[in-house]
Amino acid sequence: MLETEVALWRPPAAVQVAGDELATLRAIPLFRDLKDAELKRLAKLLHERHYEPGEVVFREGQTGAGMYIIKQGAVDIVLRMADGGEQAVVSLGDRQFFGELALLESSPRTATCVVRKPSVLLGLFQPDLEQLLDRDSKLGARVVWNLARMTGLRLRELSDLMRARAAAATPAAPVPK
Amino acid sequence: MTPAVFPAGTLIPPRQELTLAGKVVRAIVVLAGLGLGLGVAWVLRFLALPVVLGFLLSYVLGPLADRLENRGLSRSAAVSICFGLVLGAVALLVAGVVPSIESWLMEAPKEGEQSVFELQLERRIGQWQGSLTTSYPAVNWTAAFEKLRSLLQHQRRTLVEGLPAMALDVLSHAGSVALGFVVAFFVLLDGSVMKKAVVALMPNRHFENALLMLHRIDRQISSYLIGTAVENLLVTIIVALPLLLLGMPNAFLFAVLFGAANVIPFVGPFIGASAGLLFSLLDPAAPSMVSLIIVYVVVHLVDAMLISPLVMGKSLDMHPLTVIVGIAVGGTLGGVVGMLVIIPLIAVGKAIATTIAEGLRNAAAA
Repeated sequence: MLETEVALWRPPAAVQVAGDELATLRAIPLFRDLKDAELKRLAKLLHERHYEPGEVVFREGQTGAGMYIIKQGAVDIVLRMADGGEQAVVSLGDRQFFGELALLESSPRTATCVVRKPSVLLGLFQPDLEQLLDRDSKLGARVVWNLARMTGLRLRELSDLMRARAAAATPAAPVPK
Repeated sequence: MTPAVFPAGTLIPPRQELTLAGKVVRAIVVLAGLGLGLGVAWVLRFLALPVVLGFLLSYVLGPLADRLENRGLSRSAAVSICFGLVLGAVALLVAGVVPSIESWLMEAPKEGEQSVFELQLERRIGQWQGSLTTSYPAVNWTAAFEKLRSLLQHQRRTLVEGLPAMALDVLSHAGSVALGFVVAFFVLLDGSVMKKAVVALMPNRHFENALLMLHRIDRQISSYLIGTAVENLLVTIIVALPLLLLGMPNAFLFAVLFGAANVIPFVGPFIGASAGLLFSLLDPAAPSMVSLIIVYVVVHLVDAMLISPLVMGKSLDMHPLTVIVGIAVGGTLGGVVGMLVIIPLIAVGKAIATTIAEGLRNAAAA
């Protein structure tokens, strides 16, 4: 479920210009505070994939293998509702990312990702993160640490959201006379 | 936010279901590709041994190379150190085993003359015949032992005639082993790049599943191979100690044989023990057969009850019946090599089947 809340992170305005892969990675909170040499090392692990509009990156229920970073393009995250309908919960663009919780666990995807315009995505997957931890544990640990921080932040934001929804749904208590 | 809307009024494009004709065409293409792949593999089958050996070696050395790289070494330096260690270990092994083999070769039968081993065997057979004739005089032992002698004579002739072919066979395998080392070196150095290149060929639709499948295969094979290597190294050391203490001639050679054969599940320990036991029958300098049986049984029990559970853990994750049937099939199809490679092959098949089944299940649920 948390995967669909990715729009909470917007890329910093300062890096909104078109740039190389390192600039894309630098904009991702997961890789913050990493030096250029470390980002270069990380970039070697990424899988670049090209998608056409309407193509599905992954479907709800499919086992997740990792996260995607949008190097260029746009995608929609779509949820299937209980009544059988579909709802696009968020649209993501350049230098945003999604699916990062699958880096920690190969659980089924909780939403479907559909490409909206020609896109180039960079995939970072669980096996690659494991390899990074084996070969450069310091760098791997920093990425995992950032991932843990983001997960905690997201949990807090989600509970705030639920609290706000619960408050909106509860009828106002009658004012005692 | 203006999400793309598909013709059906939905946001998610439906899965593309193939028509019957499409399915038939796809099946034909897949089968043709499979046939072509098998044909190429058959033509290049002479490369099978070095390639398999290279990959197996890279799996065993991979964690060490990773650990060295993690300590700040470059990948190439880490891989070179690993190979230096392997070559050192091989040199030590050769230094330990070659004198035994050399002495055996010096004693090997030559045309027209008897070797020391043959004289010992002849003396032993004579002792057995005398002892049995004294104990059971009613039985015609002379005829039985004549048959045994003629059988041994036939084996001797076969061995003498086959020695040059055996030497050539060993030399040809030495070339394959050397090539295997080269393959292992490059797989260790650029394995991740190679894997990435393979995954890059996959269409977007199957990309994640292919990646997961490769990862599972990788994990199954590496955990099995590393576990097996550590387990059998420990078994070799543990069996070498009592053999040395008992004064077994060529104790190190028989320990290595037992450890190497122990790689084959279930039947391996019997094969490994039989070499030492047969030797003890023929060589008067060897410890008694009973003491050797006790050593082999105790070491096997220690392995089965302590080392294997500790080292291997659940790495194999396979039903014992699957292992037994697999070894029988592997042995029938490819002899000792078949028995050795069948378990990793079953593990690979299992990883592929698990991923495909998971994909189908998820597709049905989605």
